[in-house]
Amino acid sequence: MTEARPGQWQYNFAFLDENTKRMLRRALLKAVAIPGYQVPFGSREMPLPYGWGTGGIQLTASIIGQHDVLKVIDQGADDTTNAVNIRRFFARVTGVATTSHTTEASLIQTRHRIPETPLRPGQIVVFQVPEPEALRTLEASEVETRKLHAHQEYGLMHVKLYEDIARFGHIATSYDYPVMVNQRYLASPSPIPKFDNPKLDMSPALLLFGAGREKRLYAIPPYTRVESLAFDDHPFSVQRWEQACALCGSHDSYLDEIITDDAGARMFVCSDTDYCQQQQEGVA
Amino acid sequence: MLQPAFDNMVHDSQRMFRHILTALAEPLLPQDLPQLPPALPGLLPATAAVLYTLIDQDVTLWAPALPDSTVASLRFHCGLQLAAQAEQADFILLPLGSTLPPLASLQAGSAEYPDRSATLLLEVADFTIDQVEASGPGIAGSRRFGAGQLPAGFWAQWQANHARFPLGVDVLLISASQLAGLPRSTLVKEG
Repeated sequence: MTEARPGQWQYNFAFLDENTKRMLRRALLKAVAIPGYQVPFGSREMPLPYGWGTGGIQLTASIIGQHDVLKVIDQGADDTTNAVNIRRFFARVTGVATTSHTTEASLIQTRHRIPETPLRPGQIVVFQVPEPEALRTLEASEVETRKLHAHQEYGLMHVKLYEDIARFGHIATSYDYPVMVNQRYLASPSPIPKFDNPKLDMSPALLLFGAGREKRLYAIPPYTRVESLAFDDHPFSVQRWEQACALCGSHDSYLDEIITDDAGARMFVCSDTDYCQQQQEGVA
Repeated sequence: MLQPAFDNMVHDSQRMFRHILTALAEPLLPQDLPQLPPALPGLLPATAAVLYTLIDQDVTLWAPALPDSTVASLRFHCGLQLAAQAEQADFILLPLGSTLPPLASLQAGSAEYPDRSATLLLEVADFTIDQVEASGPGIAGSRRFGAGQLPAGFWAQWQANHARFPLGVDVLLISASQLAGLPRSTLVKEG
């Protein structure tokens, strides 16, 4: 079973053993059949600590194959520590091709962003999720949140959003903005900015979510209704910037604010590095 | 006599899993399965591949009487555990022409844990006929579908199964070299 390459690593393909992969795969199939519902799974110890993407890594390990092309992003960037290390990990334990181009990737593991470049049918996006339970900050007990989901009792979340309006005049939740999947399950989109929420709705790509520490996974199949919670008089809206990206000039992407010196000078640049580069090359 | 399973257990089961995942993510869109292991006596070639991919000692399978050699091969390759009754099984395997046990009698999960439900592996002749219109997650708009030699009354029972959502069973429809998924979320209209 072990694909040993002499002088190199002695791990099974994609690090996990085949029994673990089968367990994850069976859980993934149920997750796809019940969009937005959190399926428990036996989370394994991985060669990096909880909170660094162990859920996403285990999902990726259970689905990745020799012919996949893998892209890994962290806050939109291909070149940050978490992204570089996870990409290198999979390159080492699977030998698959990696890329930073969204269009070339068949499998995209992401922490906290969805690429700006529109996803296409057949692509799979794996999200790293710290807290899969959207209701957890409102109800600490797993037994209780299970019941709330069973009875589709999501009044708590509406109260929380209403309290935002009462205190701030608008819904102040700007990331990890709760969504209703397939008009049935309330789900956390993982801490993506709410800017990315509309990309979840009727996405042509399969979206998988893995939480390693919390031992839960869930899925949003392609072409599934995903609605961000809102009120009739306070409709859902996404972040907007007055500035364009300082590097590529894009007005349509999610911007990071970067402090450039001690005097407080700042610039706004795309958080999606691949998109920014494409835009710069397109302009040049 | 034991039958050989996948040539390469790791890569072939991964490839097969991706077909199954896509089948359930895009319901009732038949997936071509190019490379298959030798067929097990009494089963279609694609069914053997599905079993090698999903079954191990952690789950139970129920099937109407299978040839001894098939059971022996599955015990050897998957650590197959047979369930005494369909109502208790994680996977239910129905070879071509079998009688369908009432879908409502199979494990459908609980309100808190709807994932603790059965998966039905259902052999059919082909996907060339036109029976139903389907819609739901994974289907942009609607999709026409049909399967040859489905057990009698399957679509009527499916309506009831879908109505129980999020509880219910999920189905993999398997022909000789193709596979279509039917998750409980799929709404089907006959005719």
